[in-house]
Amino acid sequence: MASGIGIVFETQVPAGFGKTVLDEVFESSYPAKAQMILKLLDLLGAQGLLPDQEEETKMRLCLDEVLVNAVKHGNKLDPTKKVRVAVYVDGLRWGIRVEDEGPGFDPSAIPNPEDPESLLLERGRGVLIIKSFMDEVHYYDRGNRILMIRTAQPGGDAKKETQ
Amino acid sequence: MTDPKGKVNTVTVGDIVIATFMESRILDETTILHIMNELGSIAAEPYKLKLLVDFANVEYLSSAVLGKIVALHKKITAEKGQFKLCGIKPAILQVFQITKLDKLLEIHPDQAKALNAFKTKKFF
Repeated sequence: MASGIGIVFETQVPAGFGKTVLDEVFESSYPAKAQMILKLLDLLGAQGLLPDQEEETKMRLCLDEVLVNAVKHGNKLDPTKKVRVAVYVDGLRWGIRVEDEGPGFDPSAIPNPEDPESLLLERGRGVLIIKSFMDEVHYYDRGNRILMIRTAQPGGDAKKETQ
Repeated sequence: MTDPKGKVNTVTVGDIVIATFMESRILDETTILHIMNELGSIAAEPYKLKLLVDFANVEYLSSAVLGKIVALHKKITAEKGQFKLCGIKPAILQVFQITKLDKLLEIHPDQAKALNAFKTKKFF
């Protein structure tokens, strides 16, 4: 089933690439999520993958959205359930795989921003933000697993606009 | 520094309440909760409330905050009030544009322009 914003669950697990620079699990709690975000920002920053403030702002937001989805909506803040995070780096291209133990989600339930009625909904915007700021987003399994990929660039989406 | 009461600074100009976020990162759930409680107490009597929320200090904002802002907008406009935003930095403004909330919400570049918009409406 596809959503109004074109999300389709892939049947094959998308491949990792380059060098795996992180592969860890953490418990489903907000403090553990916050620690993981700081770790990811340090890791990406050290590799030169957050070249300026705008790119850092956008990527921090995407990391937060994807991990909140896993911890809160996927694993329902159950500390016995784990979130697995892997990061791949190949030059300026990097990807993050996030897998939770939750039931997944219904892509048709994601609000379509083109639909005026959806504008007044109070949830469902995180997926749209991720889709807009990352270069590639792959959902697979039942939607409880995601691989999102970005090629780091100064000035945020400047490259996309000139292509 | 961690005083939850210090996350939103409010001043009143005429009949307009200006709420300025003092927190640069509105990401973690505790911060979001504190901020929304403070805004909620301002909007406890939403009838004809004129509220301007200034984002000039905000560097990061998660989608959870967007949902809360939409809820606030609904509450105030349902009670014939006016709700405006200002001072949103370019990267965060893109988030409002992606989610089309820039069409729903009235967003101004800065406080002066937003206050002027309240006044313009008043004398129509």
